[in-house]
Amino acid sequence: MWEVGFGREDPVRTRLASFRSDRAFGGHLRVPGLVAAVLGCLGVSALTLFPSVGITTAALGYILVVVGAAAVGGWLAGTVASVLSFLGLNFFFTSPRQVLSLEKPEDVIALGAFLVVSAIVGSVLATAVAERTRAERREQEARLLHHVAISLLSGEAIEDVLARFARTVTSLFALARCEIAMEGRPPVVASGVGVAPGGPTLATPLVSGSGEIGQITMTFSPGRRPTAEEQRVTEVFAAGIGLALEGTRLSAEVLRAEREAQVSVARSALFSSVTHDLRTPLGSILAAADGLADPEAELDAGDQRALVGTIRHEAERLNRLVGNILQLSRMRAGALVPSRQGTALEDVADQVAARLGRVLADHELVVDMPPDLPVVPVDVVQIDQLLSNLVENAAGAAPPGTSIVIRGRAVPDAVEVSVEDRGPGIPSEERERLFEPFVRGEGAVSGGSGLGLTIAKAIAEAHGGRMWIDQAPGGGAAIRFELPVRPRDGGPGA
Amino acid sequence: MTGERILVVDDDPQILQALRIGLRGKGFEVLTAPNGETALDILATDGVDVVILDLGLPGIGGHEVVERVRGWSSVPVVVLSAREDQTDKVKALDAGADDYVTKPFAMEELLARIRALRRRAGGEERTTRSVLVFGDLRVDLSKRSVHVRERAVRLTPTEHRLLEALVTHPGRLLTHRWLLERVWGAGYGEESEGTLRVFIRQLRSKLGDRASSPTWIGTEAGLGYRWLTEPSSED
Repeated sequence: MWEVGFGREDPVRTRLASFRSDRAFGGHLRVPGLVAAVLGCLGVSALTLFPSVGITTAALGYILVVVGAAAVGGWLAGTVASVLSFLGLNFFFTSPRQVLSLEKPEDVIALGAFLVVSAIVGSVLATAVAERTRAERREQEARLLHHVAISLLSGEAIEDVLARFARTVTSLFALARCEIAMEGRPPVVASGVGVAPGGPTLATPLVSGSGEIGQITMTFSPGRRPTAEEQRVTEVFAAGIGLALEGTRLSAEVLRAEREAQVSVARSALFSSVTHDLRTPLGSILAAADGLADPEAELDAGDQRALVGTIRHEAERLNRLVGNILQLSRMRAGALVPSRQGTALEDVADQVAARLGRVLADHELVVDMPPDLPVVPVDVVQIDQLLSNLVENAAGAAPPGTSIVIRGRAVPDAVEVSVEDRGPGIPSEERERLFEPFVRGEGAVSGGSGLGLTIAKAIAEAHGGRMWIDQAPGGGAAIRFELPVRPRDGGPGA
Repeated sequence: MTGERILVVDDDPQILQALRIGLRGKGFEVLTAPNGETALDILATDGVDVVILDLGLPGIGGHEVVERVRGWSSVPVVVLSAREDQTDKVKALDAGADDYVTKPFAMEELLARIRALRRRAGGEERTTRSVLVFGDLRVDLSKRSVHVRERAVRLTPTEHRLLEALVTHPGRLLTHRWLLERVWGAGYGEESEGTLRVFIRQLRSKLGDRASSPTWIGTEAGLGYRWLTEPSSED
């Protein structure tokens, strides 16, 4: 987001280049000014070789040199040019030529005029240049500060931002060294190139709302004291960085608080989901039992059977849920350790299909396992549960009358098993989420605990395998898992 | 099978009560024991026809009860095991238990196990019958002929021995080991479970029995197979 305003190239480096040229200009180019004064005066003086050049022309030439020298080199170059111009005019152009004389009042006036012109031009130009330089520099500083603040808020690593800031300031102030120390972080240090160390230091605290949180220490070259301007600017930087750091800290805190709030919402949703799922069947069981036990109730045989049927049905539901919650806690505790036994997965698939086929009468269960699949060392009960969960899950998603296929195939060093349905399939963005506990898919049948897939995946991983969701050839969901042929235990679930 | 005595061993009084009432309602005489010691006392002194034994007992555990009982008695034992404990189940079966029911179980399932075991214990007279009919399947043990829907099915001698072992023990869990010994004799080789699986697959295919929705041969993964259908009375 922030990058839009700053472009792709390194903005600080670009700015650095302009700082350098500004610095040079702001420094009045003293030597080039003096050179210009001397060369200019020599040049004009050379006009004496042309007799046709009169004193007026020469005077104008000298004025130009004075103005130029003052403009380029400031008052010193202007004064030097003035004196040289006076001498040149006096010596080469006023009669008697080749003689210096200060006798005539015009000579004094000319000298005075040169000095006044050069002083005025020099000071006006110098002031203007200095003003412009200061303004530009202030703007650069403001931009740098702004950039640092925004970089800090944009989530860029603070160390990186401050390191760039330190480098830029070191260059801007011609520092020997700039160190930014912060609480709880390694200090950021930049060293000036070609600047001798050991000069005076300027320490400026970084202050945020919660107090002092660090310090910028600038080391100048020997004998160079920080100017009032540099001190002021540094203070502004320090304040800006302090605020930005504070902002970063606050936004991190806000993020953390938000995340905690989300976790707590999820936790309480989970808790209320479990509570609800446990209480509902219990409520039905108690109500049915009370109905049966009520001496005044007139129940015929059909009523009694219905109530007993309710108790059975709900108890089975409770049993499934408790089993799943137990598995979940076992998984959380890292206790989902398979007790392995060389097993033909085909047998487990047949067993699951045979058992669930009676329950899931709306779907046809098909087992498609090649007879030559390798035997896999697995915990039969766990894999039975894994497959049962997947099949029940598929039955909840697939329309009645469709088939659910348990398909197996040998892959290198493992056996891959898929449970495929003819349901609507699962959008890829939802796939990983469905393995989280208590997450029920869109259109899942009620009564599912939202734990089936979580546990199935944990079991596959406890066997050193993996599980993922894919699309079935017919467009439905395919939940696949892979179990290694050679035992290697997975992590403690999760 | 009325008047037969069942010993239920479990440390949970609610289960004991439920089984006492449920089994008594089916005409059994029910004895109960809350722990292994009491169970062994009862078994040593009273005649018992079937034992239903919880594996998770305090003191002398279920496994040990099975081992000790097998020292002097061949009384049929059905163990009750928690769902997760396949190894417990296998251990108990190895120690001599005849079948298992996973807790929590349906009464119907438990009764089916008891019936299957009683049939064996109650004399082998049914298995001496030479013709067994299971719906569409007709097995003539003496003539070694098998018919499915009146059509003759050709079986190899091994397949026939396997089928015979299965049909003469309807409803019972027949472990891999038991079947291997029964069909191939004590000296069966190492890769035998795979061999057994191959023969079971052939048998299913010849009988037209689908493993994923079996009528006759049920799979008990990791344990063995079970012949699912009761023989119909003499036709």
